[in-house]
Amino acid sequence: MTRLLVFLGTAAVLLGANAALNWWVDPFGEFWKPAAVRDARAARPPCLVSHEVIGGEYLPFKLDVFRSRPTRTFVVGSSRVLKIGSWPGERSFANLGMPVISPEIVLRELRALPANAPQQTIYLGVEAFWLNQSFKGFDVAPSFETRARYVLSRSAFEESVRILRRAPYVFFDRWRKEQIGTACVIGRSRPALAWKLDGSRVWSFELDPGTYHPAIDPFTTDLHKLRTGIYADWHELSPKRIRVLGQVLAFARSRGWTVAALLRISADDRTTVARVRGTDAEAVPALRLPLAGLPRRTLDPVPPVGLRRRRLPHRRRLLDADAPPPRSGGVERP
Amino acid sequence: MLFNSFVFLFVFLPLVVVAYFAAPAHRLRLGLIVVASYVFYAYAKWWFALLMAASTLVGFVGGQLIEQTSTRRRRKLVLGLTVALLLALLGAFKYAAFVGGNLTSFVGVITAHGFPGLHAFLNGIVLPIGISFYTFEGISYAADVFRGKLPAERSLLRYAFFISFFPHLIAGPIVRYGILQPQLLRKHRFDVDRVRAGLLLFALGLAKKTLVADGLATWVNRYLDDPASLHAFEAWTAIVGFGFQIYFDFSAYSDMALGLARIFGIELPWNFNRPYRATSPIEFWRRWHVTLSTWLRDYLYIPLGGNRKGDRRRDANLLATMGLGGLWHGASLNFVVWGLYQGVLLLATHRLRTLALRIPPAVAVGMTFVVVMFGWVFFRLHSAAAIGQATRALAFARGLGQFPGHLALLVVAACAYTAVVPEEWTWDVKSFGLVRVATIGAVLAVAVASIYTSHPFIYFRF
Repeated sequence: MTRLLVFLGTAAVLLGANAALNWWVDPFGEFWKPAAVRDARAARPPCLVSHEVIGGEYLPFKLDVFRSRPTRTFVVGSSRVLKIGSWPGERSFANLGMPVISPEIVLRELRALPANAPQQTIYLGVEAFWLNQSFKGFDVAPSFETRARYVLSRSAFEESVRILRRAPYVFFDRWRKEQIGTACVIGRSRPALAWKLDGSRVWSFELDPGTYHPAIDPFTTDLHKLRTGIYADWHELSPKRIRVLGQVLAFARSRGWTVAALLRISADDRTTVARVRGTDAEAVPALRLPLAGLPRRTLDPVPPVGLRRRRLPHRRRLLDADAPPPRSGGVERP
Repeated sequence: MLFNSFVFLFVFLPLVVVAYFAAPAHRLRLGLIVVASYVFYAYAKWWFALLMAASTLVGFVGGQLIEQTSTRRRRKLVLGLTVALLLALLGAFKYAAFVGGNLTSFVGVITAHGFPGLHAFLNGIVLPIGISFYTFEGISYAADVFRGKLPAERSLLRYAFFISFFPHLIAGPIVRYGILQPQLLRKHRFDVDRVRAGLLLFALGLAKKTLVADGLATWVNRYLDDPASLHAFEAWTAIVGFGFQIYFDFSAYSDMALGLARIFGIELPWNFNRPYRATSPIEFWRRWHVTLSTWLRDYLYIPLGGNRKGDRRRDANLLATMGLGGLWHGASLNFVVWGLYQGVLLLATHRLRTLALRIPPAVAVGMTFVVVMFGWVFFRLHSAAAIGQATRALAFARGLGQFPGHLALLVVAACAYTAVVPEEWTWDVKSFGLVRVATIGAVLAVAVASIYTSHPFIYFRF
């Protein structure tokens, strides 16, 4: 019996130590660390929060952003909307977008917002790939097994050791205040890619252009070859996704919120949304006709609806999602 | 469910072991294992369990009928029906797509009309994992009852245990009922030494899989997934690497199966005995996947006539047996070619023996190693084009290329390990002291940590 216990005990102790180290260092950001965001908020001036601290915990982070501000307007969508930030000093705007988001995650996110939240205006960044039935959104709620596999994994251990070699202080402090260019960032060994406290993203090359440079992905017009595969195996519009988008709108309507859709800008349509001040203007979302085309279950291009800069009243009603396309008012046909 | 999965290691196995030894009655224990095995099997797809239940019923009823039938002719008929029904299940799920796909393609070429609907249907057939293994077990049981080697089993519970026992369910070893039945008749008390020995063997198998086989797989796949780019050095290193990968992968599974069964007090037959030390292809098959090769010998080769009807008939029997053995591995022509290649090696060995050549053992081992390794080309690569490209590279027709240092290092290490270290199932793990036991515990921890990036077992496809 002693030898059996020694055998099992040795394995258990080593696996436990591995799990503890991986949980503490959390090399791939699989655990939500609210204290790091609190530290960023408490700093004067407030710091950014490094992506390596947030990791894949987008949902709790974005919900925390919403709760921590007197939010009246927020944008939600994929990476494409992540550059949409608040004006300096503005606190009523939040960016609740996240990479590889799907309509299911949007619905989940809206439902997780406080029930007593005041009236909101939502800018919904709609993506064509959402209607690809093969596209799977980011797993915002990993199962216990997934987390257990992660903390026990050798690859996480190897990455933890790598981080500890780069930044030994992580063994005692999971993060610390770093200075990148002129900004302070709550992070650790590689804090450059970061999040603002309004939920918008800051690229490393924006923080420190001297050190970091934008990654240039080889451009391809073949959607199937896109790195993320979000357009792969797309044969038909997913009825389920259309239904979920309907649920998103119904939920917002039930709360009395206003929804406006942000659709992809085309190459010849450089209209920019006023609050977007990103560096990648090509990818900047523009207001187009909202979800009116979806119930027809077709991908025929919806006539673009241009938007004059002065007509972007993000604090007033833009378009009600289920209303017919307006002929005048907030939007005008070009 | 996979042995190298967290749900198996941390939920299924502990629950089943505790429940098994907590159950007071022997029949209850057997029933518990059967239920657990069906859960284990249905974890991938629920209807797999229905298929196994159907196969179990066919085998059980067939055995009863064979025994109860009085005349040999009728018994033969019942045996034929039982085997046909068992093979029908296997054929429908494993070979329908292969046969139908090739036929429709052939007709399509001739008539210039494709059958896209039929192709899509055939391609949509899902292969239930492990079906090849439990079908062969059912056939061997029916044949043994027919031959009078075994009395037909009266207890459906025991027969269901034999077919479904989860340690050997998915990828063998292929167990014969004659080995299992006596062990099912006695109650197994909790024996700490036996449980420890089983766990140690399981841990060693898991380590072989996740640390050695998967380590090799990562590098081997890099080369063999793109055979068009191969040159001689890369091709030989990669194919030898694959030879060691499949050995470590499959023998690891067998060790894990033996270890798991031992925990429950059941001894399963071993499957591997240092096959790459064989001095001839004949000896290789006495050391490699032994439960399959002996099954093929006893239930196919010998009934076909074996070597009792002259050399030519023996050669034909060998080719037929090995060709079908190849097809058993997968519904694909490359496996048939691999099986036939092995058959040619066996009959060539028989012919060479008549010459009474005196070959030094080291040379014989080296020659066997080379021809066996070359054969893995047909096993690993599925298309004729890929096999052609790799074969040209192996024949130095595409130049020497670069030496794949990292993979070569792994191959040398694997080679040295297999040359020096005896098979794990032969280790006297019961006598291991505290230090060794703790070391294997540490190895288990590393193996478990490596599961995250683990590859599926190669033999799960069969």
